[in-house]
Amino acid sequence: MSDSKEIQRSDGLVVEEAKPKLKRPQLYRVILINDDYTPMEFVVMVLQRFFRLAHDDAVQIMLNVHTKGSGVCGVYPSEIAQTKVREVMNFAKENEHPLQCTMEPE
Amino acid sequence: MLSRELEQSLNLAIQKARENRHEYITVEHLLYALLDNPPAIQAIRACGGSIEGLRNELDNFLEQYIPLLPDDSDEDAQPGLGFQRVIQRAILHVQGTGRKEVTGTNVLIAMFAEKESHAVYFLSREEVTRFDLVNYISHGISRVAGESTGLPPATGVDRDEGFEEDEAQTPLAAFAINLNEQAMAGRIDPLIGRHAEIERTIQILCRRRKNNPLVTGEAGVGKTAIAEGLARKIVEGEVPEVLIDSTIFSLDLGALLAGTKYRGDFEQRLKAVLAELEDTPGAILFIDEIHTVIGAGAASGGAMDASNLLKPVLASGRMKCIGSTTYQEYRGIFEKDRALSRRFQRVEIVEPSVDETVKILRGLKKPFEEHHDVRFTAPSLRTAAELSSRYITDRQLPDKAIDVIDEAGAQTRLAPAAKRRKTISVNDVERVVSKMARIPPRTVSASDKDVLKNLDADLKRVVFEGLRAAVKQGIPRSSVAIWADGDLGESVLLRAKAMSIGTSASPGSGLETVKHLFVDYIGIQLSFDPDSPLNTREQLLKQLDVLSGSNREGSIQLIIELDSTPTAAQIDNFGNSMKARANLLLKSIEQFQDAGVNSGLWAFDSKGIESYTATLAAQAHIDGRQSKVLLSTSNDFLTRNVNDLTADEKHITRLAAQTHGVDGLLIGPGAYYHQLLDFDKGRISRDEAIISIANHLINMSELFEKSRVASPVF
Repeated sequence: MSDSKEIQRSDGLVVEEAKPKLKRPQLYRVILINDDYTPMEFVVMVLQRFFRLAHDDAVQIMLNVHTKGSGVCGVYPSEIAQTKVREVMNFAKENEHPLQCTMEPE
Repeated sequence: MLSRELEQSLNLAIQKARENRHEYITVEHLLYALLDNPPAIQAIRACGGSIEGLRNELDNFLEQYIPLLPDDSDEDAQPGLGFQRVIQRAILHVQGTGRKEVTGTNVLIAMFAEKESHAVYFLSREEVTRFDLVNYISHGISRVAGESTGLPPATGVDRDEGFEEDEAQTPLAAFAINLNEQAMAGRIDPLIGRHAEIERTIQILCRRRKNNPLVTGEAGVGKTAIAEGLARKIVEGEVPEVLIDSTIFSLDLGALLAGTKYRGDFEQRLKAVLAELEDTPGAILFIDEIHTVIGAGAASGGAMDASNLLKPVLASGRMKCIGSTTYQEYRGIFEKDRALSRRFQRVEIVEPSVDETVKILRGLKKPFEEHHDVRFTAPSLRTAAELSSRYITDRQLPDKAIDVIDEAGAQTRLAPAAKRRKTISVNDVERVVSKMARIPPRTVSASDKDVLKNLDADLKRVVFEGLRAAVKQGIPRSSVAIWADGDLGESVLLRAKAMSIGTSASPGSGLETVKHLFVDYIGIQLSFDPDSPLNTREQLLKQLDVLSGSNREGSIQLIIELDSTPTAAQIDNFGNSMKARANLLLKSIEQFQDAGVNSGLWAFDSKGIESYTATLAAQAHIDGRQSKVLLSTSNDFLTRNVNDLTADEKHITRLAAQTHGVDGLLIGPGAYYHQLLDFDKGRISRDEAIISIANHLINMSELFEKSRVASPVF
């Protein structure tokens, strides 16, 4: 008897699983993580180049990263956030800076 | 390689991003471009998606969420990671299957792996799922009618996969039929009349506990129609508020049992169905032929069967259940399981009257007319109801009447197209009934009364022709029967009469005739023979005990015999002596009528107590039952003198007063015994004998007509 209940439950779950799919996909924050080796200028440049920020805004966010440990660079749909993270990481690696860039759901 | 169309789509996606100075080319750009890709459009439509709806959603999304390149920059739009992955995945998949070309639909399916993308979200919102898409692409199975490709499967997907899908149905969908859906699809005929029964059914369904109606009635009276009709009423909103959201599921016990391999499979399925029913608000389970749940699924000797699984659920009132079974099976099987039957409230469905049947036929005629491409006239429907009621006695209205009109419709199909008629008349129906009941058409084509009215004239013709032929050919009268058998098949009554004349060389009782009639053509013979060596009275009482049910098994056996060989029962030699015995006769009439023999011929041999027997015979008419009563009288009151009619007249007048309410009189061949005797002895010639008998019969008929006595049968 308990078996049949479970079968049923799992059947029910399949249907329910479909429902969250219909939630609008989440947006993601792209975040820079502070470290002690990446120069502030480099961070500002990254923010200006990849996140199209004005110089003043870029400096502000860089200071956030510096003082609070991390800073939000922008909010994007998943694919764009992923692409940005990849671009930033590649650029940092090319310039041999240990700058970390990640994303988290908003 | 990418297909040419897909290449165009990719270019379109890039172009779309560039035109708008988008920083990236995303999965959404790709989907947007695929909305102009023919195979992709077809697939999305087949899965029920709207191209325009998607285009609007995507337009909004792209405008709102895609970062723009600065105006002064000379940078170009870059492919996003998701976009790259989708294309890669599509190509890898196609390579894996050994095909050469990547198409728009491959890309569309590859897109579904990007679960977090808005593209997939929009597709899901249009209820386009990956499963629908792959199903469509692989097998041409469309979720939308008319979109199937009808192509053979593109890939070698094995059958098991389809089977798995069946298994994935919910237990209720797999093992029960949703009658509400059937009703909505117009597959259920309307229920006509039966207001009281429906009301009682609904009332029981509304009870707090034991809310399970059990519909009982003879096969064919429309038990299933009650459940189906209820479903239709629910769909049409014609039920009280409490039931308005109900759904009726018809349990398919066969499907439940089919394919159960191991001990416990059946129980598991049934439990799953019951559990789902309990979880479904407003669900009503309908179990047709509910007696089959007793013993269903039980291992040999095991006490656990479907009925035992049902009991707890039924008693608690958590689930409503409608059962249906025939009266016979209720008595024989269902009622014996007290624990189960007490959980049900009986709703008895009685056979509808002829008038109600006509109404039902009128309500149902449209689907039949459409099916057979004919029209039923109003009288033909009435005839179908009346004749089937009278002549097809082993089955019930309205079922048998519906069968008749269905068959009448089918019959027109047999005719070549040129000769096919579009209207079903009374004659057509008569022919069908006579075929179904195996009654010669002429007997059926008029009411019994008419037959009896015309009988004397018909009879004369046949009798004399028969006699003439017999005499001419020198065939001994005792074998006239054989001859008559082959030739005079039109009316059972006539045939029996011809036999009677042939076989009775001595003045016998008219009952001989009736015996032939019953034994050979209509039904069974119940002979209570008072002349047997046993004490007459005791024997009779014993026989009647059997009938009255003091011996139940015997009684049931008798009823079954009556059921299988019906239309009439003959009660022999009752009138032979006392009135007390006639009371027994009355009792037995009731017994027979209770047993369902209520539309037939009752033949009584009155032997001198005509008036009393006639009174009793009138009982056969109680409740408007469609009996005909034939009374066979003693012959000896008729004079032998052809020319002395006054004595006959006196007798006949007396008889008329005594036999009020009797449909026909059987007068034995004694009436013309003397003519036959004279012929035998060589006193008169054949022709003289025939003429003499004819005159005698004609005179007597006139006398009967004059005295308005029931039509005589000689």
